[in-house]
Amino acid sequence: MPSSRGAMAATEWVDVLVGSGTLIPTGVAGVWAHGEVFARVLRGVEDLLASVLRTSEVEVRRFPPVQEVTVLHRSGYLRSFPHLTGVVSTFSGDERAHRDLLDALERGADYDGAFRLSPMALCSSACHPLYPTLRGRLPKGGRWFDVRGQVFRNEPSDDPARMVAFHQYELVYVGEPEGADRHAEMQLALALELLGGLGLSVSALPATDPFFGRTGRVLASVQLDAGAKVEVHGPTGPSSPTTALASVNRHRDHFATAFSIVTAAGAPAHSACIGFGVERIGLALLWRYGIDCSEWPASVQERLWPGVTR
Amino acid sequence: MAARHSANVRLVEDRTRGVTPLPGEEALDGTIRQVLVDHGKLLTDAGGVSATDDLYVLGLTSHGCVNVMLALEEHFDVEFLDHLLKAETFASIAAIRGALYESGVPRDGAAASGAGT
Repeated sequence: MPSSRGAMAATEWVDVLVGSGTLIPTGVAGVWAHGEVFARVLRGVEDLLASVLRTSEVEVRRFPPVQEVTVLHRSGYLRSFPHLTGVVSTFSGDERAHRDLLDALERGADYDGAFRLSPMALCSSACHPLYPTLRGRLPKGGRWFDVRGQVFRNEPSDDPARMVAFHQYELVYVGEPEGADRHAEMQLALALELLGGLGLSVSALPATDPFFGRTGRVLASVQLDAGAKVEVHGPTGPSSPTTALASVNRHRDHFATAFSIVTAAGAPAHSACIGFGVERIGLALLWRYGIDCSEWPASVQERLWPGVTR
Repeated sequence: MAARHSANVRLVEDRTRGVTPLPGEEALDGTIRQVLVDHGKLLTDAGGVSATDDLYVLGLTSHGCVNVMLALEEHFDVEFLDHLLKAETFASIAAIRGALYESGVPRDGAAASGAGT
């Protein structure tokens, strides 16, 4: 890493990203627009992930950034992560309610009374909308899915590595318990190789999800003891030594039981996923090599944008 | 430090002695067992689980664990102390019993009927 970037304060690095038009602040903490360079880097990262993860047996699923709110109910997300949740409220009032809304807007008053909870929520994890679609019996050997989606996590921060809205690229397995374990192990090795192959200094660390409250401390402890989550960490900027770029999650039968998914033998299925934080990997590359992608090592450019250096 | 050490030893004894519980402990274990039946979603009948059986091996999941925790707190009208909010606390009936005592459930049989019911 060049020493000039190595000595930077966190705010200086954000200034570089914003000053170069790589990231564009929107006025809401944690919500960033992407400039041309960042968009190009993220496209390269996603194409690389697709080329590595998408084998012939992998099925592609793309979900919109909203999902049925019942996914949050059935998956236990509201119990574990109410603080990260975003639900969608919509207007369904009459002309009078519309006038009241505009009056409130004029007066600078709250107008949340004009909106009601809809049957939609913001997507909590790229793979969450997948499970309700799999209800029923799986084929022997299970199924694999390539899932990419926009995710919402209500944790506003000035650190670009902690965005409120971001993209996740996931490879999900649903099937027999041994298949899920094998998938988790293989994908962890693959993530280390893939990100390490881009010249990023990465390591695997046992991890926990940011569960809410007192019950959350128990959930985190059980998760850690069970080795249910392992993160692949790497540096994304000066604000913290490392950030999770990817994580491998062993759900056991949590989602399958919640969404009535059974193996070919009729037992509760197990699932496991590897999720890549696309923006974080992009930031890690920018922090490692600088904001001028044409100066990046040819080997890295070739992996992200095949043919570009020829 | 020494006092803390002896407290830890006592706690460990509390949590591991479960094979032959004292009379008050038996009643408490019965209540814990019933909470496990109602909320633990074990793979086996929780009514037949011994005080020292590993509940995680018997299928206690993280969410099952939290359900058991909340049900016990409501039943006994106590809150598990902060340092007990971990997997180990719910690893066996004997461990849960020790944690309940430490969190303020009285060491007599009457307590097993609970204040929260």
